[in-house]
Amino acid sequence: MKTSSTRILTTHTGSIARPPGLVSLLDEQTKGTVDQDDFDRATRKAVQHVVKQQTDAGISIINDGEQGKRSFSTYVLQRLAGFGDEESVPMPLTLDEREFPNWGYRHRLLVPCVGPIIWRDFSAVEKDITNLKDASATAPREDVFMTSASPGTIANFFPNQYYGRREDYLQALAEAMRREYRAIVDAGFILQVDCPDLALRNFWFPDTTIEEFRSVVAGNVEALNHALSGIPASSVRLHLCWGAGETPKLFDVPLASIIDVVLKANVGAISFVGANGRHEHEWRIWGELELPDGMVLIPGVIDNSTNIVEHPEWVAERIMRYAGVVGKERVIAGVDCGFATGSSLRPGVDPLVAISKLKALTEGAQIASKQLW
Amino acid sequence: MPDQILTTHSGSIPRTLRLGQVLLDKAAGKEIDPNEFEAACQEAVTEAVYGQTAAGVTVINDGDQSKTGFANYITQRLTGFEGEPEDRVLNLEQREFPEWAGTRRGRRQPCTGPIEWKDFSAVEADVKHLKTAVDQLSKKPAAVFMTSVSPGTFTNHNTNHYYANDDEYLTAVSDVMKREYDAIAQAGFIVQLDSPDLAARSNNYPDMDLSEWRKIVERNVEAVAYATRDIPEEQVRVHVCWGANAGPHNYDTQLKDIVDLLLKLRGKYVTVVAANGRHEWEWQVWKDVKLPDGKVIIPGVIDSTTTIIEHPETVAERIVRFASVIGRENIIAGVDCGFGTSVSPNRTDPKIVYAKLGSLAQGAAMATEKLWGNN
Repeated sequence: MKTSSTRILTTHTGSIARPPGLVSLLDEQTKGTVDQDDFDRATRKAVQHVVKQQTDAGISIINDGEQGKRSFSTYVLQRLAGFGDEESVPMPLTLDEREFPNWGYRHRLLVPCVGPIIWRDFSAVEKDITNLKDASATAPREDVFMTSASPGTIANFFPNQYYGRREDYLQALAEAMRREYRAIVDAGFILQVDCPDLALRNFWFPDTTIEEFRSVVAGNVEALNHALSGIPASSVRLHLCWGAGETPKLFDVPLASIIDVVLKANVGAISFVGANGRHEHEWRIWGELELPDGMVLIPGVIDNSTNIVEHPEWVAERIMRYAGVVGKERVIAGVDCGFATGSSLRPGVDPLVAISKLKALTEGAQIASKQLW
Repeated sequence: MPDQILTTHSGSIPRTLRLGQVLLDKAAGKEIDPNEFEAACQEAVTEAVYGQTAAGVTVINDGDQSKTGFANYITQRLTGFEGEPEDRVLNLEQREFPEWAGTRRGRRQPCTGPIEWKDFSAVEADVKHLKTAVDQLSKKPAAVFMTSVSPGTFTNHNTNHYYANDDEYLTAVSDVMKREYDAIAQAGFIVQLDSPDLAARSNNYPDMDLSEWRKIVERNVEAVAYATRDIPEEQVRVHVCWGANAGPHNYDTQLKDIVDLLLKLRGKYVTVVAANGRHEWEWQVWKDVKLPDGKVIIPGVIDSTTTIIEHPETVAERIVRFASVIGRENIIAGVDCGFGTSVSPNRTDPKIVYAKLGSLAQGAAMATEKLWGNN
């Protein structure tokens, strides 16, 4: 993994708005009616476009914008077998929804896991890799990353109705996802594992205490490490996620109450929320932690939940704060979360505005680099 | 000298459902029942005053409850606005991001005749409602404020088609609005002049360069002094506004380009946007500024455009950072802009607004502890 050795490198969290035509094709894919050739062609073109958008904006560690995925987590439905045919398991209301009933809530239903988890279509992974390799081969960039869902995240999105215990289910998911993780790393990319399962108590485990939630997190980290075995930590970054949406976040787990468990993951970098007002103050905590050798931080210095384009001076100030507590070489400037985490959701940020925000990220990193080197 | 960080906000709070419906009918030109309006207003103001106080806010208001919008309310009180509304010019953000802008177009009501009071009782009712609500509180606020549109915003929002020139129009507006400002002050409240005219160039004059636009700002600053001349400076605060929307704001005027003019404002208090990502860095601007004696800055430490509830630690950090530059006695912790600048069927959940105000109060208490704790 490239690090900020002579300047502050920049990246983002993964998803970027998909073109409208591809959104329709992803919908058709979900319904099982898509023409595979049409889908492959549109995805390939979209990846080329989104790579150019990132490099034009000056981002140094780029990806495919998750163009070929319907969402950062449920894309595995197309790839793995073992899931049911319909959404049938109700989710509990989040703590925010209980506190603010007039704010609006959704009754969500989830697809359960009803059989053994095995690969059904690994070619989807290979196509993603080929598309990104081809699009990024000659692109001006420092590194290329690709996202993948963590075992714990898949376990949360697809409630277990088949395996005896959650541990067994996590183990099976880890065994399966290991193949995707390895393929991404073998392609020369940095693997980013998306981990709302390590922070999003309010959403997935609203009725647990912090202590109980910590043991869930510990189990998820264990499964993740199992899936990552044999992969060098320096090829992996972990996105610690509190949810991408503009929600009240009143019940967000404080970073300080989970980070010791999260740091047990065998990864070389952690991407986390640092820009929005619920988490902005947590930069100080990183200075008080014993970080593993070589561990790189990717703080969000851009808020993905608002159309307000951050001023580059403010981006720079945020970067400087992190450099001040952990050292400039350990900091890569990032974005709180994805700009378009699901293709069926209207992006929270206008697609064109999102690119302006990436440009502000680049300019802010340049200002900070000038001061730091 | 204060011994704590006081807290306030920018004025508007989402209307109650009951009053919101009456105001939407009023805005649509429907006949409304004056008794229902009166009852709904008093109920809403009492609720807003209670909500702010319960959240721990110390400088409070009526949440702009009776007003359809922070600026357009005035055309319901004055003569001279009987013509057809006009389309606003597209701002720079709308031009750069057409998909974000969609088909939304602002409208404004031009001035087509002499401006005179036709319903001053609306001002008196506002004053009465707020007094009544505050009287019912067992714990009194540190101060009470009431918003009113600034002369320069009035002229921006209502283009002149009647007076001989812009100066004559601004003077006429100032003379008429003086009566509202004076009435608010005489009630013992702080008058807050809502002033996007001092910062929102992209919205009002998108095609004008900075130096030319600064002349308009300068003229509007003078109009504030002229219109508030009979009110003690301690009772005047100016809400400098960059626009309440969650738009890109990438063409926002930089504070450093207007701060010299803002410091000339007549009035003890000046609010600035300081919480959202476009402006949070501007606390640094105050390092290079000599604050006139007795001037109090009210930086936004809560972002009014997002439902994300700021952590009190974030709020405290923002306050302490500001205090380190301008001094703890020269700051009141505020909110970037209003939470409901016009009545809307899609209002923000007021409970979220009060939770954000609760974070503001908790953060200010933490900052007070840090800033005065050793004394």
